[in-house]
Amino acid sequence: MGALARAIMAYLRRLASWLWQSWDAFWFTPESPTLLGLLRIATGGMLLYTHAVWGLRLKDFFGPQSWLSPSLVRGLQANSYAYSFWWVVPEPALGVAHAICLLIFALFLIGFATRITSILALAAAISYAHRTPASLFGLDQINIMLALYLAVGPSGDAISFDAFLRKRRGRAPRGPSVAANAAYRLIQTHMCVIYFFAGISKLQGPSWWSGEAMWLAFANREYQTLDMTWLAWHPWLIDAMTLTTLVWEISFCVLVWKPLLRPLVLVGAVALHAGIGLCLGMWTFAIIMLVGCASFLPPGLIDAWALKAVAWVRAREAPHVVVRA
Amino acid sequence: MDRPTDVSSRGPATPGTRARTPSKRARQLLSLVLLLHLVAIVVSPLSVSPTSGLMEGVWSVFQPYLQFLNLNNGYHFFAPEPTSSTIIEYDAERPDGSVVHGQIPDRSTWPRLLYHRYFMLAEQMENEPEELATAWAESYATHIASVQGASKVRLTRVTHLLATMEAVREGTGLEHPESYEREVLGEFEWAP
Repeated sequence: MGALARAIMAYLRRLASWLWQSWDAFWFTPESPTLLGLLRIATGGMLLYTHAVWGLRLKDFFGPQSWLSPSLVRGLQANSYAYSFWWVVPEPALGVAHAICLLIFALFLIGFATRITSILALAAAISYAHRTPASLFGLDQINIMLALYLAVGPSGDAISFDAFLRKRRGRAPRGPSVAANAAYRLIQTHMCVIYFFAGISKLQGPSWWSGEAMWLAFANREYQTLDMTWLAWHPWLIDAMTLTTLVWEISFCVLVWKPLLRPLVLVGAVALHAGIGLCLGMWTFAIIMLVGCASFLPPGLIDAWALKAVAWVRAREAPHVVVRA
Repeated sequence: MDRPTDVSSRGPATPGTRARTPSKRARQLLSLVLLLHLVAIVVSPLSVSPTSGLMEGVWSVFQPYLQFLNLNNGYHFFAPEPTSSTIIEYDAERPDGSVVHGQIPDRSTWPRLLYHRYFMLAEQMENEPEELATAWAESYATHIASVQGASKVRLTRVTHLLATMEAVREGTGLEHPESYEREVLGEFEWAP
């Protein structure tokens, strides 16, 4: 009995040690910030576009007589911890507040004072979402998720105005950091959570089992931007698309961590989201999901590409040598 | 040391720079924060109905954090399955007797992102909490009245049923008149 107890204790010690070492390496290995800079540009661009579009109907969505009146939203958010700066903006100042937010998103996009603008961009994006909760969809959820992790990580350390200023002042560029790695890992794990629950929640729907779920998406006239009704004559194709979507979403969180399978999983992401963009017109959602997936690209590879790009630009900038006979 | 499988893809440190790694104590504290955050983002979709009492209880612990950061999402995209869509039609009557007819979403809305905002406004009426149903319709009607200068607004919810593959093969289009079901949500009137 004593030997068994000692064996169990030894096993538990080994297990705990292995878990800690794996966890430690996963979260706390310094990583290059270059890819984070690219993710900031893509997310900042999407935040800027998404919120610029609100500006086309600012009063309709944020004014006192908006679609969702302030009293209705307060009713929806009773006993909630949702906050929004829009509650304190008087109607005449709606445009000014909106313009300031667009400026913040633009500064975040170019990576100016990123430590501050990333937090302000996050707070602004959350405020817009909490003011008009019934007009949101997946795009807004991913926008905010990415903004959060880009505010946590040093997203202004590379490919940014901050990095440019640092270089002009003769300071060394910021290199790999634990914070950059943590930001990648947070985005990656969150993407896994999103796809996994998107997949398993579909298992409650009979049409995902019968194979016709994709038809139901294509047959929705209000979603449709590309006529896919020709698929009615090819039900086996609908079945295959339904099953592929389900398997891909559920298995993403496992297969994407395997370096050999990752390219295939990411190609699957491009195919799935390009389909959503093309057939359902949800290009913004499709693009922001792919930005999240881009966090799985190897930062080392991005660094190598960045170095090649810099070398190419410098070679083109070099004065041409004319050889005279 | 055992490492996760994708560590091999990591890039080399930039020459001339040295990465700082937090102390073990700091890493342990940060690990606790990370662990709590990971539990929070998993509890959020796990607490979507139908769910267990346990998950509801755990969710209530993380509720302030999740709602404050707008992370309180279920990620149930097209789940449990794609269903019919909702259109909100309105007739806005102005004091001079003229009537403006409109609907959300309207396919002529551009850009597409704005169309999707209206699409969601219509769709969310399908999921409205019962106690807020009247307030919700009144909010839409008040907005329409203010934009159209109307004194009376009639709202109709239109459910656009999805055509089956068989129906399409037999020549029924996606916009067949019988695929629309109408339900009057109410008439709202304001004193001139």
